[in-house]
Amino acid sequence: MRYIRLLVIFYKNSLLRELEYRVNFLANALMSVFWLVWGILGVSVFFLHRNTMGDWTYPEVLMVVGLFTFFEGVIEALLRPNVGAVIDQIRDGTLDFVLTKPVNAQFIASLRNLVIWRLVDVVIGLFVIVYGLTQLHVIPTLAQIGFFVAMILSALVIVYSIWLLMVSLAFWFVKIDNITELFYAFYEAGRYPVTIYRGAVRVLLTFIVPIAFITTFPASALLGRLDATTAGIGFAFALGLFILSNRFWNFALRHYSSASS
Amino acid sequence: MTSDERRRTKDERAGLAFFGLPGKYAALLRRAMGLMLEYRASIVIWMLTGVMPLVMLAVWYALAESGPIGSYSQNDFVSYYLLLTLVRQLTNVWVIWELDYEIRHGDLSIKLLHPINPIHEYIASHLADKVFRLWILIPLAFLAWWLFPTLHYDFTPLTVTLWLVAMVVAWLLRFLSQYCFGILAFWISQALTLNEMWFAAMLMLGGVVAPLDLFPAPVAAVANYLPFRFMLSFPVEILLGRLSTADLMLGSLTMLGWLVFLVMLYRWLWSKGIRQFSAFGA
Repeated sequence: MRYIRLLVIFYKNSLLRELEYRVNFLANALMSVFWLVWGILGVSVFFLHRNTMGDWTYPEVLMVVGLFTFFEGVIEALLRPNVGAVIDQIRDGTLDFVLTKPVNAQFIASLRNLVIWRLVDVVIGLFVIVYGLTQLHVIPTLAQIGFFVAMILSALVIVYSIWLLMVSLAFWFVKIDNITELFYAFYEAGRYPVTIYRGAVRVLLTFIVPIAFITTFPASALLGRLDATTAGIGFAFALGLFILSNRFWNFALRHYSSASS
Repeated sequence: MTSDERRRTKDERAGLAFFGLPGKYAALLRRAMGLMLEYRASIVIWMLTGVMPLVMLAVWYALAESGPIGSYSQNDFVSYYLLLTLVRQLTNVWVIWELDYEIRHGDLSIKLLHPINPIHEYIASHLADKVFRLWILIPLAFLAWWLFPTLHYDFTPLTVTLWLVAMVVAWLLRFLSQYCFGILAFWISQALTLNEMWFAAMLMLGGVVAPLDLFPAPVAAVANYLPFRFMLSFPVEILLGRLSTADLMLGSLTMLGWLVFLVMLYRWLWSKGIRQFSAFGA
């Protein structure tokens, strides 16, 4: 309960700070739409030459694009601002102030900041998913929606854990403050259903850098094609990554010895 | 502006400052190389972030399983995208982030006091980055050559020479266009946003999302004359050996036309911007 109250305070604070920069809000809302159109145009080029992509039709692929945008919004709103802040704090030694607060350090370090205008991506991502469904003339059953929500939640945990792992690395390598960019390089592959990729690449994108669980499988769930085994693997994976990233964060913290010492 | 500075810019306009340029470049490059080595881990990560052409390769390769797409077989896609990856790695630019930051924080005023136009310092640091990347890319190119025996390029003295020229110009086009967007930071706060749109357009119309001839014919016809083609796609097209001599000539002329245009645009924007900068008292 106390943590929820803290979150409310954090985000009210972030919101007030963001409101100072209203031009940013406009420019970024514009860019969100711009990149979405860009992504849809890109997919359209494939469908000029083929009717399906890895057995997915055009509206179905649009749903994957929607999920891609959705999670991009989540990352940019919730994760990236905090990771950036922690890396700066490690470099300057001001992380001490976070660690000495009587609240779980991982909680503050990873959820303190919110860039509210990037939630625009979350909204337009959802919109594209719904648009894809209407093009298919499909109304998902309650069970499918339930599955979809569950897959989204596990994808959120997966994304969060990957980012926490990346921040933890910064305790050793302060000079790789661009490590988060690396995530985007792989995330780029998540614009398309994972079934398009062959062999080792698909294994890589499913289990090593689990992009498939983020953009493809929630869409499969909504379309009623996700088998229980894959869903189960998804949940187990999310849980496992969460525990692993938490352990690694604590391990990294023990390694931290402030900037001055 | 002090009278000294004014004389310096006047000298530069007259081309006098360029007499000592090679010597100054040697010094700038030495310094930039030192900095690059310091940040080598970070450069390797930046290199890894340039792998989007490989994602597109994976997609097109799978789509071409059931037969060629347009005039591209699976192997053609491999030849196309591996070379495009190389071109992208060797032409990347990041100057706007430095320029935008230095203009907004006023750090640029220090650079303006140096007896050389700041653009040369930025060019030197980009060159140092390219030297470092070559160390990694050359062995990788040989590895790719060995891993993919089907790689096919048209190496003749003409195409290789043209390719080298097109590579330099491709980098110049990317650098100068980004620099011009950076100069806009003298007036507006969203220079980076404009640059992002330009970058997105380059990915789409520069041949990353798809080889240009896989776009609908009218789009491809226009894209052939846009600057984006000459930032990435054109050097690849040259070595793929798909262009007729007439197309090669026309392409090269268009490329040079864009280069002249961007050089002029840069000079005009810079002289305007620098006056604006002094006006608000830096």
